[in-house]
Amino acid sequence: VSARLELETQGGESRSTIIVRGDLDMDSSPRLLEAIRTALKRATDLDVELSRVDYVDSSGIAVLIQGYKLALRHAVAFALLDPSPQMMAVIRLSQLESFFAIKLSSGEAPGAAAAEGAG
Amino acid sequence: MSEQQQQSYSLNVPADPGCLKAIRAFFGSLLAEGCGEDADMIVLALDESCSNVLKHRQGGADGDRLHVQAVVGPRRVRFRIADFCCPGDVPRIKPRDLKSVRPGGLGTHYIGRIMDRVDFEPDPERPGRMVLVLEKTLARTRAERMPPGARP
Repeated sequence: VSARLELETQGGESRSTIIVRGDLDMDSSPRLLEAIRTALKRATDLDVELSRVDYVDSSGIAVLIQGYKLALRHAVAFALLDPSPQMMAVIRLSQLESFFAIKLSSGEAPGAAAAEGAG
Repeated sequence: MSEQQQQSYSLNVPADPGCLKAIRAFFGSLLAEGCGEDADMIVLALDESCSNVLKHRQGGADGDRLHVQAVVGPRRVRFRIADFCCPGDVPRIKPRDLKSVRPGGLGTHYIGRIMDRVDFEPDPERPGRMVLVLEKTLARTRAERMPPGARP
């Protein structure tokens, strides 16, 4: 049973959103890094939408750190959009909730979502 | 743990990243009932441990297999992950300082934060190889998570 990961990139020339669904683990997370690299070639703003991520481990978090650093090098604004509760719990476990720009469409503070998702 | 109350499970799968999901699914479903709110994080620690075996398995005794054993009791869960590393590798396995934000080394940090005990023991079945032992005391037993009227 391989980790199922679906990636979809939406948006135009400047603003792009990568929608991530499924599991981000050692097996699947390199595909997200490739999608981020591709999107960074043309975007000036890049959001990674994470509300439908069922599972993330350290390799998925590592890809997001790499994505953030690549975006910085390309002068692209990089944000995580609506991380799922499991995703937010792992971001918090990594002490990265202040490192990433985290946007919640509910308008709720990311800290509140982190507390809710903590295991 | 009393032997009457604890249950033992084991899984032997190909040492392939594509099998991590199967490991999570197998142990996740059996931990969900016994470990309640702790289950997701325990599965993360197990997944990180298995990922480390896959990343660093050089000279493994069994070559292409990963062995995971779990013993689940009412208050405690214990995993043994076989053929984890050589004795000489153990001092190099450390969590990194989180103040330096970079990709590698997070998994070992997660394992140490989630589990109560993380130890290496000589593998009795594979001379010269080490087993990783993970233990976690559960916040509440299954009975304690039930509404008061439904408790046995």
